[in-house]
Amino acid sequence: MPNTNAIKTRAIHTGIPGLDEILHGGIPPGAVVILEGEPGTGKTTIGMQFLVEGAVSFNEPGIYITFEELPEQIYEDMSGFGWDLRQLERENKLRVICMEPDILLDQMLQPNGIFEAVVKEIGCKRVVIDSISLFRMVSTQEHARNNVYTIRNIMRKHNLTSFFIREYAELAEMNIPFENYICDGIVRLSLKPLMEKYRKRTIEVLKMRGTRIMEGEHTYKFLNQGVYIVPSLSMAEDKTLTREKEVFSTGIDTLDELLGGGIPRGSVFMIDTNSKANYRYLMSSIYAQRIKDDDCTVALMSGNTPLDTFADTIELFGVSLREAARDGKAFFIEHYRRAVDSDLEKAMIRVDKVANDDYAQVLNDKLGPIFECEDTCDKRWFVYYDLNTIISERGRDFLLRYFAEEMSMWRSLGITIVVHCNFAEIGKETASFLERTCNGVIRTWVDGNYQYLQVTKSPSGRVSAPHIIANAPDEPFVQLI
Amino acid sequence: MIETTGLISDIRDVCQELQDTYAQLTDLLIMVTDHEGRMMTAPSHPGHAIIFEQHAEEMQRFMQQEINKLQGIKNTLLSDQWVPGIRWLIAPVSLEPLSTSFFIWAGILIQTGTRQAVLSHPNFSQKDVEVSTDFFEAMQRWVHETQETTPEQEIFKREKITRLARAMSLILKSSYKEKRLTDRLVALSDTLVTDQSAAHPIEEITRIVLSSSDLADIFGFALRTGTGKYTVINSIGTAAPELNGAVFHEGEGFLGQAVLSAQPSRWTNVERDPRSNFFLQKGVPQVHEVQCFPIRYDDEVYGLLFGVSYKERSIPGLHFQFEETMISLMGWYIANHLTYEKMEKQLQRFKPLIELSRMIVSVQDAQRVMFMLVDMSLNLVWNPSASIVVHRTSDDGKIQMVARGMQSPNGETYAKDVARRYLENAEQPAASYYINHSTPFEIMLEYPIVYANRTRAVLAVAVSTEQEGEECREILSALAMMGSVVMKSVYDRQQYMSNSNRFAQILHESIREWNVALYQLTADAQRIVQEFATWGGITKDEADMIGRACLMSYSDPNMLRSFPHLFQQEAEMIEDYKHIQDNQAVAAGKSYSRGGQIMALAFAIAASADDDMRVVNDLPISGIDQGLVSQFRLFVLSRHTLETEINLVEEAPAVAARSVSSEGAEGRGLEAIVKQFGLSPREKEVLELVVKASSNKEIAATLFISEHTVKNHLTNIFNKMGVSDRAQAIAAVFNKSIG
Amino acid sequence: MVAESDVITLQMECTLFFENNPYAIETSSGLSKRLGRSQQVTERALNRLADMSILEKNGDGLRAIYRYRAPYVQTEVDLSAYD
Repeated sequence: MPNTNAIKTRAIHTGIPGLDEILHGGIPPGAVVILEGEPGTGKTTIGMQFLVEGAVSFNEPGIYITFEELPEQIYEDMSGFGWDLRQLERENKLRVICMEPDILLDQMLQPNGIFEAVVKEIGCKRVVIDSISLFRMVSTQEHARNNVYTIRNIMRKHNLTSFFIREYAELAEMNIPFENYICDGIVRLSLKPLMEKYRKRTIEVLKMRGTRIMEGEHTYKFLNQGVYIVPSLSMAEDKTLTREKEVFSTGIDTLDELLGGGIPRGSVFMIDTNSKANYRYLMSSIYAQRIKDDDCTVALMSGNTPLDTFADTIELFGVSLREAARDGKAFFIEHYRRAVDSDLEKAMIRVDKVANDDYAQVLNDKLGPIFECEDTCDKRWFVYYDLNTIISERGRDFLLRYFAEEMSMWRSLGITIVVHCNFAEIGKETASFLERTCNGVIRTWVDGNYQYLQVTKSPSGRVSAPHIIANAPDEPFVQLI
Repeated sequence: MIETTGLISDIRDVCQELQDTYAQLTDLLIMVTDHEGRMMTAPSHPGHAIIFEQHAEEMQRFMQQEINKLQGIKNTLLSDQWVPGIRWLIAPVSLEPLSTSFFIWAGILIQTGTRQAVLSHPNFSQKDVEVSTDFFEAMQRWVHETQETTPEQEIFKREKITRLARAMSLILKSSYKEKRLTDRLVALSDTLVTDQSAAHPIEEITRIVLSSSDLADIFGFALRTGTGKYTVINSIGTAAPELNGAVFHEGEGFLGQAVLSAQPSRWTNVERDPRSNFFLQKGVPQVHEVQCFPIRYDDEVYGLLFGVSYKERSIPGLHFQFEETMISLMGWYIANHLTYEKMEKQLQRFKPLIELSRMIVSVQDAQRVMFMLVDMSLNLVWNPSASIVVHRTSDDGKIQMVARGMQSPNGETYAKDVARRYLENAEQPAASYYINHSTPFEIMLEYPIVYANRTRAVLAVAVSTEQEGEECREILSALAMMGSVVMKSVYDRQQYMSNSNRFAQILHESIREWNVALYQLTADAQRIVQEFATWGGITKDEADMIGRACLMSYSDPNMLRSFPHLFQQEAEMIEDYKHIQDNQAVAAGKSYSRGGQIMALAFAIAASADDDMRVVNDLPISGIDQGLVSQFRLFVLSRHTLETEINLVEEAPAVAARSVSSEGAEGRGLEAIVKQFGLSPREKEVLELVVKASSNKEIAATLFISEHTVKNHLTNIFNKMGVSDRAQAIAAVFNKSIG
Repeated sequence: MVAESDVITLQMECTLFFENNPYAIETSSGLSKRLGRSQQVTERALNRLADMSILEKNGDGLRAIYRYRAPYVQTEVDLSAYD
């Protein structure tokens, strides 16, 4: 994962998107981690993902030990995530073993028993035991404790990093379970109600010996490729503080979540829409939120939205764009000869007569002083750029020449830029060029009767699942489902 | 007290009655003992019989002493050796030819004028230490009360007792024969009935039957263990443990000749016959007579029962015949049993093999077929040791082998040998199997596996004996046959695929020259179809076929149809695809082939290489199944997610591209919803249609229910799911399936 | 008393199971549940397969576990080099 902490180089990367970040890199090698949760929280999936990622990405073969499920069932269930477990077995990167708890223990205790043999055979590094709750069921508390303790020691002996899965429901009427004392880490999965109608899956690291953890509950989802953890907002804030960087909100909570807190300051984000998609509320929400947060803004006006319309929309969010403009905190780059209220004219940077060759210079001349003005130099700047307008007014070639240069200059000033464009209309080559130039891409499109939104690129490397955009009665008037 | 062993009770009753009659006639105490002095009848005399009841021991000792002196007597005699003057008539009851005999005792007789002398005889008055006073007193009383007999009377009594002996002899002889046969039959039937379930029933039964026969001193039981080869597996009799395991061949010695003649044979006076050496070498002390009873069934000799006598045996004719018949029958019984066992053994394996065939016809990988043949052949032979399948995979001189019980280098050497003998030759083998003795693996049964007009593989199974080979060759034939069929289907498939793929490739290549864009477009469409398969939309086979149709889509379908056996379905798809392209209306009641529809969708995406995300909205609809379109939308969506994921991965440690397969993500989401909220099957159907954007009216029509009912179902579904409208329900299903 | 043919059938089912799942590690009770057969007969079949070296058996009795022993495979025996 990109954000791996340098000191944690020896950590075992779980490979589960988001989890390594929460764990500041991963799990200490040889650690025994309890993975607990109610039925249906995805313990098996996360356990298997830990092994699959280990096998595929880190060349760390693993063993999945199940006491109840038949391997075939697991093969079948996991194929839904595109994991061909049988193939991994053929490649000696995985073994799915089904046996009774006492026999497992028996085999583990035997010198050269099956367990040791398989560990040697595939060079096993990771183990998942599903589930240790069964030890409790088949024997007394005392016995169960001894057994789990023994297994933990065996894991350490072979330096196997392991997940012990535990049913959560059973713990309700119990004191602190003994495993909590003998294991190195505890990860809890829960299902929580969300907005009354939905349920949200959360994951929380309660304990992890030898590593810093990012506390709190984080949302996770099942995607096509397995479990995807979205580290929570608080976590993102922690991180931005340590990095002396911050994110700002888009005004849409759910979108912020997808972005790991919001749009990082100083980054360039692209909003790609298709022609049918309504992006106005999305864009307006981001823009309005900047004004709310007292940022300074520059907007490149598109041909189909005059300033008045734009300002009216922003006003729906309870802030006044006009006021900001009058205060010298909002500016507009205008390619069209469209009249505005006289008191707003000072905010207009009119470029309708500016030739392509002079455009950059003119913009710099006008904006440079504004960005560096003493009144606003303690302010943060946000630029909204409608690329469709640039292309239609100045041509594709111009865009290719100008864009990267301009963006990098603005970024160097710490300015955050959100660019709107329609990839389909600018051609594949230009689109991929833009995509490379930007730090993040938020894509929205209409399919059938619904509009979808997906973060397809982000600085943290996170990709979200597609979400449906639903209308909401109050601002920001949209929500992601 | 009265010894009855050896006498059937009704015979004893007859004898007793006879004896009682003669006792009255002669006024003597009469009884019968065997040759050891054991009483076989109750003494008959009104007065003095009690002495035998009270002093049995003394009497028996006395009589035993007497009998020892009388060995070999043939006639009735008068004896007074114990106490002179106290005389007994002793008559032997001959049971010839048996060595045992009975004796009639009749007494006592006191000659006229000798009573006083007897009573005063020192033997009688002096106390014998071994004899009790009571006994003496009883005897003295008996002597006192016995009337003296004249010499004439003695002669009369002796004649009568002689007659009695003769009568008893006749009765007992006939009864003995009868009893003997009855005993044998009872023993035999008991054995045959009760020992069915014994671990080695045949050997056990044979042992029981033979060990109670007096036809010979040693019996043996040999079974065929190879062609013309027999092994003694069981021998009965004290002197012959070394006979066990002895081997003889057809025509060799007495036993070898007997199996060759396949008839019961008997040789006597063979003490000096060199053929007796076979037995003498195995520790048999002497050979006088050899009797053989072949075990055969349906002209096939399975083994031999034989007996060896040390010296001449005197067995009555009937008895001899009975024993002979019995042992012959025994042989027949064994043969029958062996045949049945053999059949049973094969039946036991045919049944599983037939069941197996159902499970393996679907195997579509040559190596798995080889694994299966090797493992199953071991399951099918009685004493598995080694098995190998050699398969010629190509014409480049390379072969593939899968083996158990043999390792390098023997396995390879043998595999090459097999390949040379069977696989290099284009001719088909004449026989279904061959027996090979010249291998390091005992006896090899080699089964050529023929398909597509030549031998392409060989299944070879090691058996330890020829016998075993004979027994399992049929079942292995069946397995090899099954192997041929499955191998052929694998082969046909490969051939078909490679032929059609090759032609399709050639046709495709041919357009590169004159239309690069078309060449590229068709290639892209094929690639998209393959991706769609990987995603889980269609099977790999379907994708291969539709992919070929994509490559050849510009070709004239009729031209394609002219390829024999190839491209028939592809041609149809291409036609349908073209019709969809041209927006031709579907004829009423007809629909375009699924392949053609998928082609149309794939080409639509391929043509919009710029951004497929957008194309999902503009997918051609007319003539295409709505479900397929939405499936394709999801596919494109996930394809996009996947691509992005891969882009990402380039920055991080490499994650191998993982395929996303499913039965359709929507379906999965639906299942999850049904499970989570406990929707009924009907509600599931309704929700499924909701997800497909059907109106209430459409749902009602599809499910044959009223719109009102649809509304009810919807209310229930929404309540269960905790959502308030269709959109949220769809969103929930969608989220379940994608994220 | 179980018929011999049923034991052989089960033997074959077990063989097929392990051919299809060559890395499975099974106890007789585990496999009997999977195949829907009685544990006793399954154990008999498995032991026979172990005797034939088709399976590897570790341990005894109910605790015994079985794994598939892959046959000896050579995919490229070169015929041109006769020895």
